[in-house]
Amino acid sequence: MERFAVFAEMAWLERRPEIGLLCRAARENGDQVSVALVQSVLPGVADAGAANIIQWCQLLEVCDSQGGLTALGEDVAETDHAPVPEQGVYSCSMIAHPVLGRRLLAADRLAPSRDQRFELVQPLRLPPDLGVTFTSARDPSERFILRSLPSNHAEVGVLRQPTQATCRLRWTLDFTNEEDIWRLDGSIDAARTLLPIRHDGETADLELWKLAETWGRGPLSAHGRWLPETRELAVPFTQLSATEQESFHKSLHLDEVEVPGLGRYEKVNLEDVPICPASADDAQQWAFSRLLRRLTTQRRYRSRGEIRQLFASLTEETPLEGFQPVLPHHQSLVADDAVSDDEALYWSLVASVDLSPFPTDLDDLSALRVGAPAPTPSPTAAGLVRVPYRGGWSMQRLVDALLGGALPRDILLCDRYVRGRANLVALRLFVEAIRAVIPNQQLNVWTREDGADFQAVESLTGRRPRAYRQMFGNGHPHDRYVLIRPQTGEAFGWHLTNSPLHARADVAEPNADTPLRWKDLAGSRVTPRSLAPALRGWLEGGAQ
Amino acid sequence: MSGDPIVRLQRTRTEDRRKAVLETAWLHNLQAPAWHSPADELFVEAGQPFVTTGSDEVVLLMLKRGTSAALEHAAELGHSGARVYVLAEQEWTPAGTALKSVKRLLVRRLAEVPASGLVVGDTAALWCGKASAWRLALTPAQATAFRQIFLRIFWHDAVDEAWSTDGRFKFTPAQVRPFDVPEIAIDACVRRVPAGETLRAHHSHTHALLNAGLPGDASLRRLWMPPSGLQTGRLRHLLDAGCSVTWDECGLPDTTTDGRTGALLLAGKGMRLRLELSTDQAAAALRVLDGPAAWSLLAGLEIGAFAGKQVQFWLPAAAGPSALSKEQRIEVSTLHPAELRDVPCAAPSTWPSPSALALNVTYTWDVIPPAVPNGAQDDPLVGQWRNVDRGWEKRLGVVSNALMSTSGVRASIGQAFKRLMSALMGFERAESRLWTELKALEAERPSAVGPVGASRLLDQLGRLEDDIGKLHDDLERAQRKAREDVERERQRAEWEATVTAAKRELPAKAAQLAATRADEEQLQSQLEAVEAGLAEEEDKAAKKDLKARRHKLSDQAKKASRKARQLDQQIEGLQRRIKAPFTYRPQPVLTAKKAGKASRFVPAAPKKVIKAIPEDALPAVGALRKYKGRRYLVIDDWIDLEQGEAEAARLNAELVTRERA
Repeated sequence: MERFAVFAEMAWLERRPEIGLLCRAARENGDQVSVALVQSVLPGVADAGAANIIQWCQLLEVCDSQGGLTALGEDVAETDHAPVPEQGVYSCSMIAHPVLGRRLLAADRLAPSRDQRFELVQPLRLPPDLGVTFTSARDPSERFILRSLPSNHAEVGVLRQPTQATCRLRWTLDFTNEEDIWRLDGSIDAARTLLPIRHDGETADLELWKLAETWGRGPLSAHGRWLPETRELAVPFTQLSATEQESFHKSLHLDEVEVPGLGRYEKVNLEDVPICPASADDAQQWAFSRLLRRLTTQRRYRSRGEIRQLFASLTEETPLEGFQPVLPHHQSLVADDAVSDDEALYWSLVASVDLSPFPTDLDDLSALRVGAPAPTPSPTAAGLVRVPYRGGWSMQRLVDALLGGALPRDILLCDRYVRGRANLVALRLFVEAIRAVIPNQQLNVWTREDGADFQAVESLTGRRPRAYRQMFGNGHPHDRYVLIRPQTGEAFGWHLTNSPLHARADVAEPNADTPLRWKDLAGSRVTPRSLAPALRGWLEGGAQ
Repeated sequence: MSGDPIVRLQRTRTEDRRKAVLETAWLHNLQAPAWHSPADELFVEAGQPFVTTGSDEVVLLMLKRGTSAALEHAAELGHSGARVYVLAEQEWTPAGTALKSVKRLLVRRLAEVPASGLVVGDTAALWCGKASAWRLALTPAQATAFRQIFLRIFWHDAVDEAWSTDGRFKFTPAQVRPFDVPEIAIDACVRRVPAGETLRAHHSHTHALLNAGLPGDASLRRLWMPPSGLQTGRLRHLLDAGCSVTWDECGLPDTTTDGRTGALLLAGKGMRLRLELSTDQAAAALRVLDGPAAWSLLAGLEIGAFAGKQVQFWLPAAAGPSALSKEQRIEVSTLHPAELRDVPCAAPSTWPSPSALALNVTYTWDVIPPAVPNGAQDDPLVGQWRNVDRGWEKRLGVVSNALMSTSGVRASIGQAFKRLMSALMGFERAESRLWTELKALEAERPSAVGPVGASRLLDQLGRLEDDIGKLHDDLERAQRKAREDVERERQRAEWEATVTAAKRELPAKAAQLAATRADEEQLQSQLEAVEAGLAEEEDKAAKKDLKARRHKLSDQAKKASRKARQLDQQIEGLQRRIKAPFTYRPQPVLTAKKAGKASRFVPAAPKKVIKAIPEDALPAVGALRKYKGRRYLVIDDWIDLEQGEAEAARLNAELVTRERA
């Protein structure tokens, strides 16, 4: 930062509402200040007076010699603050940088003195930018313009002043939001002291992704392969920390980067760079690592279906999905050293399979390739329903399979999470699928009350939902159930391994026949005798 | 009645009971051989090899406390690489068992598991019965149902869990289940039932074994149930209907079968496991229940017929089996006859029932004579007589003291007044007589002689008191007379000495008076001469000398005149003493502050000390006591019985013996 005293012509922006009124009128009339416009704003002014006013506007540079509104005039129209020119000796604090130019951060009027110090006057080779409206870094409400630096022989002379002030430029490039903002901070001279710099931030209007592409060919190539189409950095799995694996972002330290036209910068921290696997192997390791981490940090018994669902949720809609990582077969999974050496993890996976109450063909122990349709399952035995992963089933197909040709007299969905926008969309599809079989059929819903919008559910199903606490007390069921009381024949139910409400549509307005993306879902048909008392009571007609 | 002390008596009575008949009783033949299972492989006893079929990678072990065979089989499979899931009861830990070293072992625990069982692949078995003595190989359907029960309990009911970590087990709260395990159907061939449920024999079942409770209304041919003293009434109906009721320690759980169908109900506190038997299992169960048994319930047994045999009987309402006893001694409750005379022959009005298994019975009982109640006090009559006796003794004491003081007075008078010696001889004789009478009265007690005799004694005592008082008066009078005589003589001697001294002094006094009067006259004359000379003398010096002489002579004359008057008075006094006659002046009597109390030399006899004499005499035998308004006559010896009864009647008292300790 330079500090010097200089003879200059300055203009301080002061409140001048009449000029603001004139500029606003000009902005609304073709950005032109004319005699007629002046007379319309200031009725009674003669032509000569109006011309005189226009001449003053030109002097103030709110309009050019043709009467056209300048950028300064636009600013006056916005703020009612107009430049008031003056000449004198000023103490100026100036900084220079490619991003912000040669900028005065502060200017103070100096009293004239006869100190006879001509020998101390030094040339100012790179003067501040002229005609730019500067904002004081001490008081942002103070703005001024350096109109000219009068001098002899076009050589500006200044009296340099000592200073302890510092100034730092902090430039943030936000690739995600595609905006760059730079800010100044530090300290600046005031009367016999230093004050912190006040600066609200400005933008350089960079095209950031083009810049990233440039850097991808340059400094980023040392860390991975920049993919312009996906705007991700393809990185090998071995270079990733746990946090980076989970966030799919990585912070990089670049020794030097260049912003074309705005300078070269050293020791640049590039934060939250979107990353993706560099290869299918990396994607597989990455996905498996995330799975293990989730299993070890949230330890609990998990069924094979939950493992498949968890693996899918950890990979789908992430940069991993495109590589179609594979959840290993159950035996391979538990044989992995990371699993078998961790007793708690081992038992959490193996016990749920060894001690599963479902038929073995309901527990799909085979490998799961994310993003690829599962192989068509062998014909399921009677009393079993399996929705294959990415099998393209619609809600109607599931409902038809559950009904098994029966015409329902009453249906109950027992699901602990009937909440959230996406689940309610799936609930709407479920109800539509039922009503496609029996028009106007109502659906009973039992669910947990915490977080559920019973009114919204009722609007979809036609019946007021019942709370788990009311129906089960403290012994809530873990799984989901669909119970059906048919018009004829014996009542029956389905014990489901997952919620039918987890189905998601890829279109904006799905209907019951829309193919959906399902998480693993299988069901076994049950009789009332094998159900919890509350469910059995409903199925046998005891509860409404 | 002899002279024996009255104490509690013990009496006996003996009865022969060999003809007694037992209506119903469990008969235990102690000479019967030990029970031996006739069962085949469907009902195998513990300890036999456990052969598995299908995959043996996963072993499910439900472990009830006290079952080691299932654990050993599971450990063997675990050591071969299988994953072993154990469902055990709380407080159980693999430490110290063969399972400790199994590499893959997951244990979950809860308060109680319904049975011990093992599921390996398609093979499953249950260990059941007392001490898990039986192992039942399960059919595929039973194995499937048992596996589901295992899963249901494992995932829904377990409260904590642990797995092996380097051979150590750290139990932590059980984590939540990953899914719901369906409820076991109420008609499943293996299912849990409430603890209160009992095994009701199906109407077609012919054999049943119940470790507790009674069968339903089924027409059983043979019922095994543990002998007890309970419910024999219900069992009697079964006996009458032709059912054989038996028991032996075969160790089976509750079982019912007809050889084609049947059921087992395992023991449990919270839940019980019920298993429907397959046809083969039911047939095997039937063979077991058709086997011999050491216990049988019989009716109409004459106990004399089993004398000397090795048998035990478990009688209705008895706590356990008992052998015949040759003799039973029964202690009948102690008797307390109301009358003392009834004590020697007192016996119970009813006799307690002897043990049904006693061949002879001897009754013994104690008789406790009526006794005076604890806390009884002496009867008021006793107190009244005691007061009379006490007053009697007090008066005798006073009289004795008075008489004793009389002796002292008499001795002192004798020493002081020798002249009274002859009179004192008479006093001594009177005193000696009074001592004799006093000794005679001291030998008597009013209470011992009754109301009439007591009055007589009091009269005699009154007279004795009067005599002693009179003796005292006489002694006092004689002493007073002697004391006056002595005083008179002393005063006369004193008078005579005074007269003699006056006579001896009178002449000297008269001579002194004459000399004094002469000196006085001489001085008077000298004074007159001086007076005259003074009147004549002119010389002052001589006059002055004369005046001094006149003064001196005047003083001497006055002195002589005063001395002459004194001598006149002294002479007059001596003459009056000489002329005065002798007069006796009695010594003044010292009066006490209260003359009344000290006026008598001998204190008055305390006649009022003796209370009124009771109307009734004390009993001749025993002690008269009173308790809560009732009067008791207490005797200690049978010899006093008759006299005591008469005295008790006289005094309106109950005749009793002394109070019990």
